[in-house]
Amino acid sequence: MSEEDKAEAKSEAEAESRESGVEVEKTQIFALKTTSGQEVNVANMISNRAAANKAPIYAVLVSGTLKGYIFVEAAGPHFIDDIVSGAKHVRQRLPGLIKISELERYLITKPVIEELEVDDTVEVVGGPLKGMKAKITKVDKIKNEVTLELLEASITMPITVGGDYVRRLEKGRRGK
Amino acid sequence: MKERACVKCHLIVYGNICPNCKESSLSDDFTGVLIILDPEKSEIGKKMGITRAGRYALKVR
Repeated sequence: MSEEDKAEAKSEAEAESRESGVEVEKTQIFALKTTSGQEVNVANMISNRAAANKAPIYAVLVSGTLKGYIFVEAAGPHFIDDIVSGAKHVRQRLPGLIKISELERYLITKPVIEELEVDDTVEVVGGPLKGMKAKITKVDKIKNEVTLELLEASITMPITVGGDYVRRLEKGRRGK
Repeated sequence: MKERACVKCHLIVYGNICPNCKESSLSDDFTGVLIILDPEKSEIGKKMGITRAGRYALKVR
């Protein structure tokens, strides 16, 4: 099949899909393996190079929880390969496509407080009490606050902190 | 200047006012970065309801 025939067949297929109402998938999402801790730097580099070369790269996602991987949305895999060739901290592009439904867990972040319950053991992740372990005595979902009882303190006194400043370590008796 | 994220629209900015929603409520405590280069074509951008290209934080505290 000559190049002209191929182009003709492609345009016919596109016209057919338009007529049938089936949407042609234009963007593809790929996973890139990077050096751990360098995800944001790699994402910035890709966006800068894509903007400079006017490459069809539409979005770059760096999840806060997934170490060593970033996701790139582009028109095709070769555009990503061109952009990252010779780049520092980029290990490889993983074969296969990533579905957008698989990325939902990284995009839609559920508030931490939704999962917290009284008697849960938590660790304070911010503020002056950072690193201390505590037990939840009260959960106020409306105000997004939790009242804690520090486990490491000699005197037990209730402390109220924001729901985002705790991380659950262990489920309490009620949650089990 | 340190980069901070707008609490309302999650846009990562360097100044004191978010150019997107003109608010000054910015936070330096954020995780995850989403760079949208073409909001019209990006499926991720559409999913997040982003209409303007830029760098966005996924979670802002």
